[in-house]
Amino acid sequence: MSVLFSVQVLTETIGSVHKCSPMTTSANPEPPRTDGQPPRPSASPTGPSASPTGRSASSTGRSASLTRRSASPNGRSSWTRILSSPWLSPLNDTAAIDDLLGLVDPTWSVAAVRARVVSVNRETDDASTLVLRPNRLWLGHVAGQHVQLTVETGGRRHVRTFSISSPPRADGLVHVTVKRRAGGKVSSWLADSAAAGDVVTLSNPAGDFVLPPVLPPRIVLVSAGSGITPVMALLRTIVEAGGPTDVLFVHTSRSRRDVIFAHELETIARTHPRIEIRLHLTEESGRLDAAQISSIAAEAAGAPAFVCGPESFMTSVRSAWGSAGNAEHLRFEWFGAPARENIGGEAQSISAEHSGTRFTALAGQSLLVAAENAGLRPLYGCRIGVCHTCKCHKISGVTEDLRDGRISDEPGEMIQLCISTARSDVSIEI
Amino acid sequence: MKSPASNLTREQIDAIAIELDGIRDEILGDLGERDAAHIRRVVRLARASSIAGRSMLAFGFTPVSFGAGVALLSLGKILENMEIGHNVMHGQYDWMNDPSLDSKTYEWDNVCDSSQWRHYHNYEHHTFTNVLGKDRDVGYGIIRVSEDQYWHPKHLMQPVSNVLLSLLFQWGVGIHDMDPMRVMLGSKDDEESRAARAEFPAKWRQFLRKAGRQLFKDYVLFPLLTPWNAPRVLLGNLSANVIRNVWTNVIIFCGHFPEGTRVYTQEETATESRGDWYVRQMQGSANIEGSSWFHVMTGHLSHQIEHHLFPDLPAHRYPEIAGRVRDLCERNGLPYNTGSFAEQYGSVLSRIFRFALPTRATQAQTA
Repeated sequence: MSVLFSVQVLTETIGSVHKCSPMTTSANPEPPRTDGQPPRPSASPTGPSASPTGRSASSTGRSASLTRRSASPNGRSSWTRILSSPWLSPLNDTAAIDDLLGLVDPTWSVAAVRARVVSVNRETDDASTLVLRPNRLWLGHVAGQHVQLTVETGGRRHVRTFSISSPPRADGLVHVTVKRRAGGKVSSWLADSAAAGDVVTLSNPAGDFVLPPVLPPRIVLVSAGSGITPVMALLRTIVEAGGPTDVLFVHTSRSRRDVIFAHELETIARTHPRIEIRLHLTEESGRLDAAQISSIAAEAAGAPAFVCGPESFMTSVRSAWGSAGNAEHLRFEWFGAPARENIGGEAQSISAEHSGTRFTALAGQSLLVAAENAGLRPLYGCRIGVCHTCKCHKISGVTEDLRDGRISDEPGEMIQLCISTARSDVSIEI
Repeated sequence: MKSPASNLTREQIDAIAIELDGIRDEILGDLGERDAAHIRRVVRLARASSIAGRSMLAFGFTPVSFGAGVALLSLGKILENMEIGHNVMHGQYDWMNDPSLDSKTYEWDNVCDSSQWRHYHNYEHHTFTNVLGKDRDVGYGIIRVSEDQYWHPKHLMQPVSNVLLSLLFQWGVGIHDMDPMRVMLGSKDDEESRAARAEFPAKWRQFLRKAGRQLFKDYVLFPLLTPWNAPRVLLGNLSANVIRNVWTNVIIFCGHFPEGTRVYTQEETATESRGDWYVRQMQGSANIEGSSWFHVMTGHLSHQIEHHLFPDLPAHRYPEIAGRVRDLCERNGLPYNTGSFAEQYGSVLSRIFRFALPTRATQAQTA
């Protein structure tokens, strides 16, 4: 039985074959069409099923290859149940199976999307595109979606969200363009140290920053800095579709050297008369001011507009579109805006995700005490940081260890409530 | 009954806390590749050893392959329980963000449910180490290891009950969190006994589920995978479980029961500072000397003193800091209890025999 099981696992995971199987594409939102046909109802990319949990592209997909062989939803769930039953442990220990498979090929896995770095293309001084070949567990994406990327440095796993800068490609490769942030562990590693042959772990794609299934006659794209990455995926999709769509793309960047994809943008502008690309370089002409953004909003009129950039930039775009009365046509992509540390020592707002409440933690107060004062009853033990009973997932925010001042600023880290105090607004799973 | 700790001044105790916090800080700042590589190497070794052992039991026919199979499976189980399970559940590797080494979700190869283990071991035992009436690991409710524990006629049996406990140790560990002594014998007026009784049904169901899975795995699933060898596999698995039981029991008894380890009363520890807590951890624990291989086989509980000071530092770091902890003890006139395996376990056995008998009143008063 163990032999049979292993054989099945192998046949379902081997290799990173091009991903054009009917199974894969049917699990995805429809690619945009220009033929005027309505999309299939089950596959609306902008529908309410889109969620930030990494499942939006896979509402009809699988969570792991163990379930790949059965077609019907019922069959799938019962297979999953049987194969992942704790009664079969340790035969179905996916961590152990993955570890063994990884000895043969580090991209093989029964549970995780692993991708090999095919090449790293330098775009600017501080931005690089990773060309990735994911394994068969990758469900495919829609242009404009993002993906969580896990890399391990110094024994620690770090998870970050990045936009995919390519539309779905026939060769199955996925482009992720990363700009190095000062002090950013993952972005620095990706931009400086990642090399062809490295293997990274991906989530499946998520996000509803995607084009409507039927391309409208006119689309406006606005981006600032590295916000160009998901917008570029949209632009490339429109170019590939080759339909009668007019595009106004406004991109702002510090200098010409900093424009990611500059060469490709020039080529597109030259060869596609329907696509107008305006570069706004702040070094030469200052930041886009409110009046300039308002005039873009006026030009956009009723056309759908896609915007991605730093938080302050998106705020001004949103208010300009709002005053032009076009707010409902606006789509934003923003994620991973880093929590700002507040050294001022004032009270912080804590969001308790499981209990769905919000409370305030005073400077220097442990999150456990603050939660208890708010009427919550998190599990605890020693209250001195020894037993780890009160440990929970911190979704976002910066906390400090009251014993030694150690800072936790990574999203998704585990913290002990009894010895952690908030240094920014914090979101925790209690 | 003078406590060595009470001979220290407040300043000394505070200085001890600062020095030990400094060691902890230093190691935390240095965690990285080396620690991740260590635990992953042990995980692979434990898996490889278990797979090899189970294969020999399943496919072999000779007594030699049976013996080798039992030895390898025992090694796999011991490594999994000691260096991996116990240490991972302390949160020693949570900084890696690796879901397979996550203290909150790790489930070990043992009939004790992991969440119950985390409660009574990480919380009760590591917070209230050696405090009588609080740390139920002092003698596990059946063995009298100190003259400060009240004598009861059941203790006459303890040389025998010790052997039984070591053979069945995982079952003792498995039911320990339910506090069977208080559930069965506690008085109705005792608050802790009432609490133990109230929690009993839920914990009992949890225990049955975990124990059921463990029994199914070793005595049904694996034997039936190779039906022609089912009795051999079953006997091999039983032997490996018993060997693991005896080994873990012996190592753990060497951690807190050798001659010289102190027990505390609840009054003594009512208003403890962090420094007092550190001192109690050092005085209530004992080390075993041995090779680096031996240390891994004990899950580094051979460095029980360092483990009790820093339960959430990766255990393979304990040998690196042991010299400094020992030096700190010597400078402050605190005993640092260490010895060979034979010395330490011999000392435990002599205590088990000695305290089976009631301590004479005169001795108790003057000791």
